[in-house]
Amino acid sequence: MGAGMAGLTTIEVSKAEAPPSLRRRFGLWWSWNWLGLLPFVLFIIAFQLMPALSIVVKSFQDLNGNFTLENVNSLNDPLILGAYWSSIKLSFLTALGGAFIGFFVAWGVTSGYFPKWIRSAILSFSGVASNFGGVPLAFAFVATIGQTGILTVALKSIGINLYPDFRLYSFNGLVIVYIYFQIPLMVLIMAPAFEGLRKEWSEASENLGASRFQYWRYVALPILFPSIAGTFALLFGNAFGAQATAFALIGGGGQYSVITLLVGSQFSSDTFNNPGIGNSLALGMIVVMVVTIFIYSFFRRMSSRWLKVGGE
Amino acid sequence: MSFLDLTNVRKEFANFTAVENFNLKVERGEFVSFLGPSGCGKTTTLRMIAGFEKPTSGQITINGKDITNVPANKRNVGMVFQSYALFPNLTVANNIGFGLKVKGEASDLIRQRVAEMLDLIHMQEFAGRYPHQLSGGQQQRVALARAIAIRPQVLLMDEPLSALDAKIRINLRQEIRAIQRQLGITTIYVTHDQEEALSISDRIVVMSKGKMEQVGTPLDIYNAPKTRFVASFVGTLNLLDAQVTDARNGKIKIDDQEIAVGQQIQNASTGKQVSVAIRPEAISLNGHSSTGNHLNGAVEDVSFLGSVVRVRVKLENQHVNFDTFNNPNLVPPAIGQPVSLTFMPEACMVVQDEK
Amino acid sequence: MSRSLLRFGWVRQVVLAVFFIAVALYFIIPLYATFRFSLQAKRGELGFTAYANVLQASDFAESFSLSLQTALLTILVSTLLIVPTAYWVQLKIPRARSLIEFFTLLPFVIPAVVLVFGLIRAYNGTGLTDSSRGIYTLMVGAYVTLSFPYVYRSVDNGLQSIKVRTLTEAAQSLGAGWFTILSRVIFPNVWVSIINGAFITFAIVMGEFTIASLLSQPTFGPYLYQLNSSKVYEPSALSLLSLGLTWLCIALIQLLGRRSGQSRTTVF
Repeated sequence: MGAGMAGLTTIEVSKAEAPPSLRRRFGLWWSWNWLGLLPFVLFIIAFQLMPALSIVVKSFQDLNGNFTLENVNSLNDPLILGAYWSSIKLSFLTALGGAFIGFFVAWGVTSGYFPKWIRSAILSFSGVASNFGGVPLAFAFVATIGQTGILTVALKSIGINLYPDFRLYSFNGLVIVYIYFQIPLMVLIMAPAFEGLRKEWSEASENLGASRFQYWRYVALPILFPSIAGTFALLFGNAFGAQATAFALIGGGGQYSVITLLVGSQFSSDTFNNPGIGNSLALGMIVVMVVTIFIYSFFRRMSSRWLKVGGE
Repeated sequence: MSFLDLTNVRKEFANFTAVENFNLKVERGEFVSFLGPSGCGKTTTLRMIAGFEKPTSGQITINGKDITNVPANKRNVGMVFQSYALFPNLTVANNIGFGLKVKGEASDLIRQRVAEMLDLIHMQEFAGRYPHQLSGGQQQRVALARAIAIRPQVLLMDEPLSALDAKIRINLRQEIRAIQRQLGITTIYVTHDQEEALSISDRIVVMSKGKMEQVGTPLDIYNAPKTRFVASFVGTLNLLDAQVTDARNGKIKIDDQEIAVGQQIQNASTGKQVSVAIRPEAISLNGHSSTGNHLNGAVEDVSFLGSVVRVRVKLENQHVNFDTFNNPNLVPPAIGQPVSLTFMPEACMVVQDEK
Repeated sequence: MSRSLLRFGWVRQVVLAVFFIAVALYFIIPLYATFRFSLQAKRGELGFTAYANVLQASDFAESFSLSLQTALLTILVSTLLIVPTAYWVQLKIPRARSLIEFFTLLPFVIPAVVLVFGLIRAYNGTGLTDSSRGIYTLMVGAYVTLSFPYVYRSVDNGLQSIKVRTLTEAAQSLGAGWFTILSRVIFPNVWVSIINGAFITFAIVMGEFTIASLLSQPTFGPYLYQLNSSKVYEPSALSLLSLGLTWLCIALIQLLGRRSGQSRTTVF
């Protein structure tokens, strides 16, 4: 761990007259302490950066290792583009639904609307439910609104027939199921943000004559907006990258394939007669996720700047 | 007719009484401080005037109108919070104009009023800044401007300076007082800093454990404290245990040394245990006065406080602190040196309340 | 506060109540449905037959213990990597914090399915992808990086709250060596954060499906999936059991956090 390393901060002897050269500036920045991070960084390189790099590189390589745009061009296939579009739609809708509903639940938890025992129950449940997915979640919904699910049966008994118009193993089904873990994620992340809304702001606004609506419109929602937007991005990414739940519900290539299933299927079959296309499919996913993370970081920085204000 | 009236105001929480028997009449344009230690009920009372707490019983009236049951956002009282409470997402200008905006005023009017306020607090160049870009003192001035912009009937300030450095505190409190005088707004100021209260108030309400201990001008509170608590809380004070030897002629005994208090001691008979309060600045060293009192003791400690030198003298069982101006030509007394403390009888205040 | 409650019109009250009840039902009914279904293994009567079958299956024991072992290994590696790194960063190179945080966010950028794909492609031919040991190593490595965001955030928060720099300097000025500092000063104050991260990692690894199935590892996730195609009632029983296990982890985290007074980690 570098226990014996002293905190050296410069290794260059500078020429006093010359303007700071690149070498000198590096010298001032470098510290042997950075080597202490080596184990961690090596691990990240080995298990994150190398795979990512390999995907990026191999996306532009053919079987012999020569540069080619073939893999990327092959993405221009209706099935593939449809899968990307499905994933984006799915992620967007479930992020929206999760954010909207989760917003109110988080508000309920932090504003005192719910009594104390419900509050902690909701928070622990959110911790569990945000992790819920794959077979257990799919199964739970099959048991609820599947062909013989208890809700289906109950609705039938009062004359409402879900089937055959509704199918659980479809895009709509995925939306309904995905929201189950999107809402708790929103709650977990927004509850602290709500708690960051200081009581004095609400009192000051009231004192200055504002109604509750005006308080939310001019003060609370604008302050919360970066957190909401950033969490929306997180929810989007969460749904976009999810594979287990889709796999459990739809299987390896149903009519509504999402991009994660498509990538996963490249492991076992070679549906496109192009072994390299798996790489570019994965590359496409990485591109989407990078954009998402940028949006998330942008809003996160904005919110932390504002919430550090006044009296603290 | 007083402008702000609190009558028999009482506030009870689940397991304790925060404020009781609060009666106060404040004149228009008056600057009144609520002074007391934490937990004495001063902030609770202020919040009842603002409308954030509802009195359990009693009445609050402003300008003849009973506002006890009026919601907080309809009272037109301006409040300045201890933590400034500036809206972080709004600029300084928008913060100041907030009260006018929610009332639906025309934007020209708002702009004009905001400019006026910025002038008042001397922060014209800061209009476009955000709270997180301001220092503590600047934020507090903006908070003040925001509260005043709505032309409140009463201005309420809840320990507005306690989060600031000492030097800034002193400057800012004078600024606040100047603005208040200029605009003539009735103001209630909550603080635990007695120096602050003494220096800027027209009147002070000293509170302890939910009750009003004394109401009076700074001079009254300091020179004529009515209770032991007030005497010990306001200013530094020597509070000595004594026994009455001659009530009619005002003579008491401290540790076997008899002194005169210059007036008859009410409600007392010989032998009664009382407390006597003497301000440190009233005492001098080894004076030769035939009409004054003398207390003999030995110097225990000498503290140099800048312009003042504070000497602690041990009597037989008790201590007396006295202050003397720093004089480079005089040698301060040595530790252990026997001294004689001199003070006039009128400087003694006999305090007889329950401990 | 009841004060703000009074400010709502009664219409708003009703709408809010209906809304929250609907949300509650959305969450509870599927769980109840699973539970009810799991009790129906024996025709005509409700009982815990399915649970008994599940727990007695040898496959269950094998896959569960493999997952258990993997989870513990992951926790070990992750903790050993993160704790010294987080400590080192706070102590010596505070500037590096945002860089490290960026690294711990990478698992979000590279979803599980993409990660597995990349791992296989990257290490194809290196021997890692040929042996089952090698593949298992890849899986554990992937899991460790998956746990980084949570473990790092937890430990970092814990170190922040104990002002680790000041403590270290104080210990050094009293003559303590590095080992003493780590074991007597840092670790006792940070172990709750470590446990916190450990439990989250445990929950994640135990339930993980994507990476395990694509790497053909017989852990709990794939086992559950296979069960679904072969049995009728047992999958639902097992689902609830796994859910219960996750809930237990979270509950223990909260219990620990409350006992030691350390606040819950926040993401935003």
